[in-house]
Amino acid sequence: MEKKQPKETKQEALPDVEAFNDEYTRDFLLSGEEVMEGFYRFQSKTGKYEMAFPADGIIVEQAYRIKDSKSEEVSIGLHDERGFGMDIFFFSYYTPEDREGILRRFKSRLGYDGEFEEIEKLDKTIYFVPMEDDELKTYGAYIENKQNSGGLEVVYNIKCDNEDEQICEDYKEEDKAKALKWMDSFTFINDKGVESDE
Amino acid sequence: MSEDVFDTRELRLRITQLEYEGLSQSEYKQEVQRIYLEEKGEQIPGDIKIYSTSESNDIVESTGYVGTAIHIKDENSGLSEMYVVSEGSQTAADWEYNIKGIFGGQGASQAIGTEEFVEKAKSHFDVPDSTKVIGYSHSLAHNNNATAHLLYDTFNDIYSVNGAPLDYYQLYKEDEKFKKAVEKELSVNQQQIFDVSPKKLEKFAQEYYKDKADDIHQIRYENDPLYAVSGTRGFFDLGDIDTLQSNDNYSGLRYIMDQIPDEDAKELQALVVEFSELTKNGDMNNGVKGLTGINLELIDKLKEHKVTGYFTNQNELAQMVKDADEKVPRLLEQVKKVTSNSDFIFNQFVEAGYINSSQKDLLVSELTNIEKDLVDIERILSDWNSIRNSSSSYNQSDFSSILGSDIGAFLALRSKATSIIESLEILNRDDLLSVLEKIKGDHDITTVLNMLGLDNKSYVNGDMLLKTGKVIINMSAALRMYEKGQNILDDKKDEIKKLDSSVEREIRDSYQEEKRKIKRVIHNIEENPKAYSYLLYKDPFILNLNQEIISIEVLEEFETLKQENIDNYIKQLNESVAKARKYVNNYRNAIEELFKEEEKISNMFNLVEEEST
Repeated sequence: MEKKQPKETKQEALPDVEAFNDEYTRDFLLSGEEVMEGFYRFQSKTGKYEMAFPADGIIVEQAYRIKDSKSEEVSIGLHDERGFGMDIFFFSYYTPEDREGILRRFKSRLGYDGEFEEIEKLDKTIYFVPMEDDELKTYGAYIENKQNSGGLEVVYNIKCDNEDEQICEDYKEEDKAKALKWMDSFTFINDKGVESDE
Repeated sequence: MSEDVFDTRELRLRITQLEYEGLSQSEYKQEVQRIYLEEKGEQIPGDIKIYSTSESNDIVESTGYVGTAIHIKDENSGLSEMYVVSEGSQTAADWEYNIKGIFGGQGASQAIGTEEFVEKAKSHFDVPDSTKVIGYSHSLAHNNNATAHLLYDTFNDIYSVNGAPLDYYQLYKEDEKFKKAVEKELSVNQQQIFDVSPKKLEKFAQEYYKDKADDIHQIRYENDPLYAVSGTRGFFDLGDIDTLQSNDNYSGLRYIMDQIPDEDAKELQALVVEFSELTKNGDMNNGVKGLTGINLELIDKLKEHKVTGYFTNQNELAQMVKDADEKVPRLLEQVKKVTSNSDFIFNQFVEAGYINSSQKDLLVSELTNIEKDLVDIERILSDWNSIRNSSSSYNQSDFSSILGSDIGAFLALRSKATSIIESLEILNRDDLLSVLEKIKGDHDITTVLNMLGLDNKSYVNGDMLLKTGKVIINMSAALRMYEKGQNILDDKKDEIKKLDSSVEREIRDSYQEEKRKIKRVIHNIEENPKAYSYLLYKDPFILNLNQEIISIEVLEEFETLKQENIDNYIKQLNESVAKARKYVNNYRNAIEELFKEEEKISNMFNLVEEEST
């Protein structure tokens, strides 16, 4: 019930941004209040995780997949100036024991040879990959739940098609920080009660 | 690299078929050995080990991937090959995936599951890195195997039959390298990609992945229904494709589907599949409930008990109305798409020889009836919603009108839903069902095996039939019978031996034992005659106490054991085994005689005989 609130009762109060204007996307958003600048609270239909959702993002309906509360695939198209898109794959059965294989497959999908940067957080560990050489920059992360099974393969693509390479170069730090901030916004919902709400 | 152990189309197809047989690991192994023996006339050149997804539940539950890995290994020759047979669509969930997923870029999870399973199988068998990994698949599984291969380089080679093609929308989502390449070439993002012309994307994807094309090999029957519906946007072919032409009167299912506008074809297919899943157990009510949300059993309860029924089932009724409100407009839209083109659509089927024109007329008229009923249902739902909404709350005066309108609406819904069922039952005729069966059958592996145009081989239910002149022999059954026959006769022989030895033990030995016992007693009597003096006093007429016994002589005579009957019986039993063995061998000889040019045949018999001993 709580989920329906944004679109049904507080219609007028909702922010006038692409995410809320798109009916399909709106259904994933919990409230019109920003969680960080330009981002709103998104809850997965699996009930297993939340994240910050970009105001100018739209969930691509054709690409959305869900399998019970076991796995989910979300693709987000971005409409901001340099934004491109995000992809989120969630698998509830991923565990730390499988990490080696998960990271290997993820690297293969990304086309990345190097090492992951390991970032410890209270409730999760982020294995971060910055791939900034191309015009289309790719920031990837495997986000592992520390309290329970479950893991997320997330990708944030940012495009710089400015002809002046120096400008793109200047954006580098900002983009990386933006990507990391987004990745840190993921929280796993470990409470089993969430499922029974459905 | 050397040839694979399974190096013919027949072997590959028959091994792929095994995945559908629901075999235990030991049965799987036996079947692999049998198929190899039948096809090659020799023993498979290595040890076989089997590993299946049933041993790693996580993968199945979360990704839906199901498959089996076969490892063939021979220390002496250094042979080590791993075959991974992925299972194609089978369950309702898979079909749902087929419709919702595959016709618009399916999910990544099954491809990820495929790679994960292959990794697990490799470490389970502890195979060296040099081991060749070969993927087999039918139907939906081809998309899994091929996608995994493009993403993770999972296989050395992929062999598939009647497979669901790769999908560039799906690859765009999963393969970040491909995404980058598309963006560079076409400057589109996640959403804009759907605006790019399918032809352009298809060509781009084929070019981008061309290096992998050499590893992908497919066999496709041109009337395969999955192929027929794979003309929708997103799909593309990669690798070599061996297309088998139809040689019966039916032709060009794919052509029909290509004629039908994209959206309408999808709707028609989705409707048929959804309905046939819902009514799998013959329950039409369930089909109607699934498609329209209308629950006839619930309405019947209401009809019987009216007011109490109304109150006690309030939640269910509310849910039903909600479901119907959601489902009916969507269904109506789907049905309308089909009916507005029904003449054209079904004419294609008539021209291709699938149905005749009177069957066509029947389909068109019943679909029109169903459409009318759905229009009525939609109207009932909307009238009734407006009554409910105008009665703002459940106050006393409005309540009776709500109750009345509710019950009236339920009963009207009931009559319309029943009318839909009647139409469906009219369509549920053997002649129409057999058309569906025929179409479904054209997707099967056995159909493809029999389309290969092999000179003297054909297949039925996993058995291999050999033809010589006008005679067709079920070779699998012959080998089974020979092997089982020999086994049974060996068992019988063992039993006879046991019987013979127990006769020896129980009868002859105990006769001798008894004889020995008696002889011992006689000996005792003759040695100690005095000991028997008391016998003299037992006779009341012998009163003279001075008499004594000085010697006893026993005159013994033993009857010989009458054992002729038993010996005879055992002889007869032995003869019956020899006779039966002769029959089995005659049978074998007769088959060998029929195929006397093929040494392979007699070798097969020798090998199954060896195996059984």
